[in-house]
Amino acid sequence: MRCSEVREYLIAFLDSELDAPLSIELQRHLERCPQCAREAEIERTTRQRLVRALDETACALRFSEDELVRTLVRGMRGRRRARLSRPAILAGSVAATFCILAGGWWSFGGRDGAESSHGFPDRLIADFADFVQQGRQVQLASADPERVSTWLADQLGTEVSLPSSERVSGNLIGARPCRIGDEPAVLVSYEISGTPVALVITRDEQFDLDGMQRVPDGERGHWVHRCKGRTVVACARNQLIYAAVSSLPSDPLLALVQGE
Amino acid sequence: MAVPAKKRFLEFIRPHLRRMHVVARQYVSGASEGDDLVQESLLRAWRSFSLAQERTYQRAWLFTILRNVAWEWHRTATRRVRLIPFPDSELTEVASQDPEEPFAQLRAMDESRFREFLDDRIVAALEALEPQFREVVVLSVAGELSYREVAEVLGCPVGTVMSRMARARRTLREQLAEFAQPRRRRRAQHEV
Repeated sequence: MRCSEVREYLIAFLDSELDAPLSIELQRHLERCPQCAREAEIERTTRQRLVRALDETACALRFSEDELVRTLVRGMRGRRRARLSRPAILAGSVAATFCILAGGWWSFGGRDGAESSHGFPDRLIADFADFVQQGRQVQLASADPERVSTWLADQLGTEVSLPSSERVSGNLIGARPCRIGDEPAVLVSYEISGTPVALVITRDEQFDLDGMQRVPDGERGHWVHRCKGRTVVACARNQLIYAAVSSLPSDPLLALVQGE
Repeated sequence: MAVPAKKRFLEFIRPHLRRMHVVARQYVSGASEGDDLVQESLLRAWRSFSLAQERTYQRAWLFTILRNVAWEWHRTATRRVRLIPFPDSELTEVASQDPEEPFAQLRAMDESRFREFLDDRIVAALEALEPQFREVVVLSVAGELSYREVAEVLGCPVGTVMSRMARARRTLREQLAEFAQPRRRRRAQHEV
C-alpha cells in the first residue's frame, strides 16, 4: 500500500470502518512508514480529544436524564388515555410509577453498580452478530498475541494477557476498541476452524457474571450462557472479564478466556 | 399490552439517552433546547413504537428521528437550530479534495502541548466546518454511530458517509493548522 492510499483510508481505518484485508495492509504500512505512523497518531489523538470535548457536555446531563424519563412517561400516557378503561389506566399508572422508580434506581444506583449479567451475555451476542455482519473489522491487525496484548493494555489501562498461539487452535486476526452499553471494552477477533470468534475484555466492576451458569473448574471456574445459537464463555481474572462469543461450543472458547 | 410496550420502549432507549443528548446539543443552541429536542424525538419515537416490530428498531432509528425533528425546528424557527441538517435534495456536490493529498501540517509541538492545544481548539475547529460535514462528524463521534448507521440516519450511501467523513477530518485538520499558527502570521494572512 502506498502512502497516498494510506491517506485515503486512514480516517476509516481509525474509525474501525475498514474491512479486514485493507486494515491489515494499512497496519503493515504504518509499521514500516514513520511518517504515516505519525499522521495516524495525530489523527487518533485528535479524535480522542474530540470525543472527550463532546462528552464533557454529557457529564452535566446525568441527573437531567431522570427528569427526561419522568416527563417522557407523562407524555407517553397521553397516547393511550383515550382508549383505556379506568382499571387499565390505574394499571398503567402503577406501571409508570414502577418505571420511574426503576429509572431512579438505574440512574442513581444500578448504573453505578454492576450490570445485571442477564443483559451482559445477551448484549455480547447482539454485538457479535453485528460484528460478523460488518466483516469483522479490526483496528490493530496482528497475529502476534504479545503485540495485541500490549495494544489492549494501552486501550484498557491495565495489563491484559491473551493465550499463546500454541494454546489456541485457531488464528488471531486483530483487535479493536468497542463498547458494551456505555462501558469501554476491547474486542479481539479470532478464527477457529474457519468460524469467527470474538473475545471481549472489559473491567469487572462494570458487569457481573452471577446470572450465567457457573461451571466449577479448578480454583477459578468459568461461566457459560447460550442463546440464539451462540455460546458465551466468560472468566474473571485480574480485575477483568474475558468473554468469548461464537457459534462454536464452549470447549474451544475456554482456552481463550482462561489465558495462559 | 400497554404495560410491556412502555417498559420495552424505555429499556430500548435508555442506553442511547446520553448519546442523543450529546448529539442534540450540536443541533441546537442551548442545554434546555437540547433536552426539548431529545424529549420531542423520544415522544415521536414512542408514538411509532410497536412491539410487533421491536426487533427491527436500531439506535439509528432514534437518531433519524432526532435529526428530522431538528430539521423541522429549523424550518419553523431558523435561530433555534444551529447545525442545519441538509436533506439530500438540497445537497450541492462540492468538488472533493484529492483524498490522496497530504494532510495539513501542524506546527511541531510535544505530545502534552498538542493535547492541550486540541482541548483548547477542537470544538471551535468543529464548529467551523460546513454543516453537512460537521453533522457526519457529530453523528459518528458524539453519537458513536457506525458509518452504516450514519448513512441510515442521513439517507445516503455508506460510501458518501466515508468520503464526507474523510473530507470533514481533513478540513478539521486544516482549521487546526491555522489555529496553531502564531498570531502575527495569522493576522498578516487575513489582512492580505
